[in-house]
This record gives sequence, C-alpha cells and structure tokens, in this order.
Amino acid sequence: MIKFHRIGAYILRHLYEIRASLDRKADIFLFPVIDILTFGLLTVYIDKLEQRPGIALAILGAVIFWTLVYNIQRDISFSILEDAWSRNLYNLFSTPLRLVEMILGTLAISLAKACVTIIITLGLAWGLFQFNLFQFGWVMAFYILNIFIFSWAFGFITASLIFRFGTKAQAVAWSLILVIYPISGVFYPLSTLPKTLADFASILPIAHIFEGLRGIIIDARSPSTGDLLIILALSLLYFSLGLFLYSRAFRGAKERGWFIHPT
Amino acid sequence: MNIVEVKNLRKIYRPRKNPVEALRGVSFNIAKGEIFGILGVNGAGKSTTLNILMGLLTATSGEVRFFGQDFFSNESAFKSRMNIATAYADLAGNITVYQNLKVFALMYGVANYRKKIEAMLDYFGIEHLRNERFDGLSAGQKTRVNLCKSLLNDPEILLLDEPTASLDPSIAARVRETLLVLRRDKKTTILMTSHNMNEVEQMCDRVALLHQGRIYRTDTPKNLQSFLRVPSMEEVFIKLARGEFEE
Repeated sequence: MIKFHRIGAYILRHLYEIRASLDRKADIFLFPVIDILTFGLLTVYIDKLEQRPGIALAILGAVIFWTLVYNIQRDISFSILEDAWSRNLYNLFSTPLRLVEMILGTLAISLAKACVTIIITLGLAWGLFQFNLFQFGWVMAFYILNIFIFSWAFGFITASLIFRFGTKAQAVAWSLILVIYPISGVFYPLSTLPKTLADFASILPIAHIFEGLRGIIIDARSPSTGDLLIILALSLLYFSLGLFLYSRAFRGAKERGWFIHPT
Repeated sequence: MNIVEVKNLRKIYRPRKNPVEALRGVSFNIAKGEIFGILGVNGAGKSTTLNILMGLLTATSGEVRFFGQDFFSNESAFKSRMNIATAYADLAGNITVYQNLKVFALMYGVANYRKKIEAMLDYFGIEHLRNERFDGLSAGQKTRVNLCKSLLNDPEILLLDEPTASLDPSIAARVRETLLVLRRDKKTTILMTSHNMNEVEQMCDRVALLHQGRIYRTDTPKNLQSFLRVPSMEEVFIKLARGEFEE
C-alpha cells in the first residue's frame, strides 16, 4: 500500500537539496529568467522589423514552453543523480520506500518546481513585454498540461538510461532532450523541416503543441478537437512508455547492484 | 524461533557475459535476539548477502524468510521493521545531519522523531554536528550518523556492515555496548560483518565462515576455535583467508 509519509519524506529530501544547492536554485530561478530576458528582447527587436504581427509573441510563447519542457524532464533524472552523486542511494533504497512512492514523490517535487518556473516566466513576460499567455485562451493550459506529461515521460526515459548505464551516462540528463530540440519546431513551422524529419516530428506531442501555439498567436486559428486529442494521446503514450522503461531499468539496476555502487 | 531464514541463496553477476558467482548456495538461520556474524575476506560474499537481505540487490535464486514469511514478495513491509548501517554508503552530502535524519525518520514513519533524533545524536556524542553538512564530516563522524540512522525506527532486525570501521576505540566500545543493550532490552536480532576479530568474539553468538560464496561452517566463536585448534578468532580468520577450509 502507498504510504504518504514516505512520499512526503522523499519530497522533503529534495526540498532540502534545493535549499542547500545554488545549482538547483539557479535551475529554477536564474536560467528561466535569462531565457525570457534574452528572447524577450529579441522579440522586441523582431517586432520593430515589421514582420507579420504575432511572430515575436509566438517566439516568446515558445521560449516559455521550451523552458518548461527542458526543466521538467531534467528534474526527473536529477532526482536520481543527486542521490547517486552523494552515495545516498544505498540508504534510500534500504528504507521501505517503494518504486511507486518514489515516482509520485518525484512527480510532486517536479510539479512544484515547474509551477515556480511558470510563475516566474509568465510574470516576467507580462511585466516586461506585456505578453499574457492566457489571453489566447485556456487551450494554453491544456498545452501546459501536455508539456508536463510528455516532459515527465522524457525524464523517465532519460533516468532509465542512467539506471542502465550509470553516472557515466549522466550527461543525458541535460543533453538528450536537445536531440529533439531542432525537430520539435519550437521556433519555426514543421513545414520548414525536410520531409523525413517532419514525419518523425509528427509523433512528438510537443511538435504539435508548438505548431498549435503559432497557429493561435500568428494566424488566430484555434486547434481542432482532433488536434488536441492527438496531443493528449501521444503524451499519454510516451508517459506509459517512460514509466515502463523506468521500472524495467530500476529492476535491472537492482539486479546489477547499481544502488550499492552507483558508478 | 528463527527470525531470519536464508536458504540456498545464489547470486550471479552478469549471468550472460563473464558471469561472476558471488554466492553459491548460502544458507543460515538466525534466532530472535541473536547476534550473528559473517566472516570472510574481501569478495567472499558478505556484503552481497547483506545487500540481498536488505532488498538492495536481487538474488539469482534462493529463499529469504523474515518472521516466517517470504521477504521477496513484500519487501517494503519487512524493510520498515529492519535497518542497516554500513561503512560503505553515505547519507545526502548537501544537507545537514539533522535534515538527513529527519528525512529517514519520516521515511520509517517514526513518531515523535525530533525527540528520537536528539536522543540518538546525544547518545553517540554528535549533538554538536546536527547543523553540519554531512559531506563536511570526518569518516568516524559519518559512521556515527549512519548508526543513528540505523536505530531510528527501533529495528527488530539490524544489519551492520563493518559497524565500527573508522571509529576511535572509545566510540567503538560504546557502539558495541549499545548493540548489546539493544539485544538484551529489545531482543533485536543483529546480523553483522566485521574485520575486527575481537569485536566478533565479544559480540557474536554464532559466526558463519564465508569463503568464495560458500559457508564452510557456522558455530560459536569458541567452538570454531576448538574445531580448528587455534587460540583466537584472529587465527580462524587467517585460516579462512588462506582457504585452509577448502574440501
């Protein structure tokens, strides 16, 4: 049976980590601010070039979404890496903590951190550049929800690679997502991509989300229910895949004794 | 009554590629309130046995029963009644001693954890370290914090891997005294490994001699010495290390 005191303890362990670590605080507060400032100022410049109206805003919206994707997926694998780096996995997994409780704790802490990031980025975009994401309707909340689901899934896939290959594969925690960065159409339409890459992008829910974001902001075109269902279905599919790979890799790590010698 | 029953435990690392057989059918029982030692050279399989019993490592085959029930089918339930202290693992380095202990106390659902943590810190003489970061501690201080962690939930079964490694003799003596009191007052069952033969002789009711993944003999320290016609456990260990038991 799931015990909430164990999930709470796991969350507390990571809250302490955030409080103690400058790196973790920078992840939540500093880097999103730098991104929004850099791209926000770029959009001011683009606006002055008298391009199609809305392009600048679409870029700013895309930066906010991408910041979320990057941070959320990274937090999942960092929750494991932090304990591996401090050789604490041994003690952690000798407690009654179950895998499902660890997953719920990881999701909860990731949700809390991402909410702080959302507040900071949306607040800055509104305060400095008069950009309110939700002026484009509550479909944006649906997009954010799916960004969470997909990014968690991607984080679980990344963390499963760490379980499998150890801390020598730790760079995947912050770099693997960059493999899909160019083909996700973050700043340009999928039609810009060569056909093979565009086909591949079509199975990524975030590619549909960025496409939808541009459609709403630049062309004032609302996504169809079908478009939204495709996004949700793909996100859930990746989430299931992520959880499957994560639990499988966890079992493999236990088989090999990785929690004892996490190298 | 046997609290711990281990039957024909085997562990093969990398079964498909370069297999290494770490345990080759280890069996032993431990009675309630007994202090049971496992002796062996590095690589004999002591830590592997402890790690399987703590649910940190999957056994290739064999059976582990705690309190008469299968451990592998519901590890979490049994782990809440157990704990481990090892010289080979740390707590989270970035956070303080108190924060670490609080996280583990909550993990085990310890009621009135503040009082418990303070009593433990005080008992092991590390109250002054409560707000120090764990990674700033010396090896001996870390060992003491680990021991505090291992006693937070009043475990019925306590696994100890080199419990007094890196401790100065006076603290080590206090740790041994604590363990003996625990056994006397709470009937805690203790399974330990140690390279300190005086400690083994002083504390263990029975000792299993483990060599290359097999137990060669299990008996009281005194009986092992008379069986091998040696004057001390030190000599028993030397014979074991030289493989002079091998059939």
